[in-house]
Amino acid sequence: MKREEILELVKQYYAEQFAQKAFEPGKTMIPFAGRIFDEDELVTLVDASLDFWLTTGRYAEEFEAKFAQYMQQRSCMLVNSGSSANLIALSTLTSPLLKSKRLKPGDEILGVAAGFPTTVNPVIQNGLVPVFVDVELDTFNIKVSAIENALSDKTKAIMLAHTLGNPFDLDAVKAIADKHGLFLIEDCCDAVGSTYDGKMVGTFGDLATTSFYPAHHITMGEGGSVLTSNPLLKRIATSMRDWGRDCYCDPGCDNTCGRRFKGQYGDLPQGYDHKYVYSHIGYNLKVTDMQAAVGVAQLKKLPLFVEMRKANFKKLYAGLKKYEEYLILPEATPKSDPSWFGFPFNVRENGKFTRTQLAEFLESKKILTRQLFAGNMTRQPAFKDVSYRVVGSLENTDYIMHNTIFIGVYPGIDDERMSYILSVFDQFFNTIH
Amino acid sequence: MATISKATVLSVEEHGPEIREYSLQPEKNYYFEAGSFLLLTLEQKDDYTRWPDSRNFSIASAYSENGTIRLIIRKVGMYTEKIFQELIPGASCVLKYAFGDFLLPFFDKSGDICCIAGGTGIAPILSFAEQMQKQGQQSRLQVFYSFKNKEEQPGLDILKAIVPEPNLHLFCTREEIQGIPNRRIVWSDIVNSGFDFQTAHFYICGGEEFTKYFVGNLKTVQAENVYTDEW
Repeated sequence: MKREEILELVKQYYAEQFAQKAFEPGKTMIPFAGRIFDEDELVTLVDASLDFWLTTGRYAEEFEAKFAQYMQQRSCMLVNSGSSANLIALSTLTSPLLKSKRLKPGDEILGVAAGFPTTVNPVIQNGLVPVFVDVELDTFNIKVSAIENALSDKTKAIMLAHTLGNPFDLDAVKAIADKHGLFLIEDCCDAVGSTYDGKMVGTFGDLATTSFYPAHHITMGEGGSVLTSNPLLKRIATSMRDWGRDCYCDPGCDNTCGRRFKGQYGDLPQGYDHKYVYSHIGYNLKVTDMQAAVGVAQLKKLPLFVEMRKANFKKLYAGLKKYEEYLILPEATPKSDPSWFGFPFNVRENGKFTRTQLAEFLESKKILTRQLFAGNMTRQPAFKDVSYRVVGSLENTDYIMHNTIFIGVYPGIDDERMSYILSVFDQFFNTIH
Repeated sequence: MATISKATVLSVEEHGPEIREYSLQPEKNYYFEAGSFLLLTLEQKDDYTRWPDSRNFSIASAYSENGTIRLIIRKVGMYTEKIFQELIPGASCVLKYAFGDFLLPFFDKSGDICCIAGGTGIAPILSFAEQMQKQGQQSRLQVFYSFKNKEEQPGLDILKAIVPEPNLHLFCTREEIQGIPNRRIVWSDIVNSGFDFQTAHFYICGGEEFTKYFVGNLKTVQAENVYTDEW
């Protein structure tokens, strides 16, 4: 049987199995996020599996090159999740190859406590100390006026997420990082396609990360990437991802450098096989070519996905503006054009209803909601025995923990679903007036 | 990951019987760092299977929008002889790029860059020169380049066009050429150029003995940033 015949059957299978079902208001679930795909993803996935190369191959090569171009970066390294990407990005800065610039245990990394835990966990996992400052209620991003006060002679880096796709104030944060010689890591897991001052997020810092989990802007099932335009950071990040090895051969290749048995490393004997020389305490966080194959098909759709997210955000904003008496609506950071992950808002503390009551009402109508991930991370059980420093109050972070929810803007929300979502909000507010 | 791409030979320029300069047009044009090297195979590989027999060559040009890649190849054995026979204008080969650690400084934006090259070791230095020119920083470059004779001086036109004249130091080892010392590069040439050995970056690319000689001397002055590309 020819490969083309198999792939033709896959297209037929897609048409039979994944045909879109009609939307039934109140019965069809409207998730906060979801994978959007067509026959292309199934075809590339099966095509990659028929190669049976399994580890990273032609599809990973194509995805890394094209995604780097899309993100306006010189290089992209695929990893198996956005959280792994954050772990690799932060661990990269601990490399001895960075000489005096490397991060050492006890050094402090500035961030915020309102967000997803794996933006902060790599700091702790590397023996470093997270330092938290508060966030703004309307952008959900770091309060830049609080940063300078939080710096100490141990501060070596700033690591922040662009919350739910909304870029943080990159002018201010970058200026502080440059002034104090700090590394900057941009967690873009929820912000693929967001721009600031006309440039892609991720291009301002030393390293950037993305996630390709099904909830994200594009997916490959499990997946993520580390992006950088610095060749040394790329080299270190690749080593960290690939067991910590010194060798840079691609999978299935030997002796790319031509010096496999010629070097002398550490206290190893002269000529020790370079394939088994380790310059870092690394991990294995690689993806398979089948994941990358799905990513290649998704990448073609990404520009459209981004536009649809922006359009859905605008519709929700316009539809909910009349309820500002009760809701603090999200505001894009000045100079930014967010590719929103979701539509977050705070329920103002009022005597009529709570965030939970609104969430329960929406969920009862099949509109799924989420809170802003970990809320105030320092209040999570996992942080009980963790050493961290808080500078100033985390008043807004706590407010978000109590009052924020977000709903979806993902491209699966069409006009019919959007009208339904807005009508459900109308129903809710009609009951409380 | 590295990029695997078919490439067509655009032109071949001879620099004597042993050295040729190839201009190649890869089908895929993705960014690579100046100073990187690639693998070239004559097998017409079009699937993602184990990489076949190939040879490594430094890329002698910086990344460009039009995607052209320049290589300088010396005939040293059977495989390079085969390359000389088969790679004529219009012919194709397969490239896998880009690799290597012989790259421009990663963080330092102002320190001197001293390049010491012998023969075809000039290839990655040409890549540096083009990249530095793009960044408007060619005045940071000091290039020490030794070649055998008038015929075997690949890349000299490029260097003369990019590197400021006082920063380009030429040496011809086996022929008298007016205005060019008829000798090898020696350590005192480097010392007398007034580098700050703590802040300058030293890139050495040549044969084993050539590299050893300069690395050894740089060690004696505790030079901080020394990079080698030895073939």
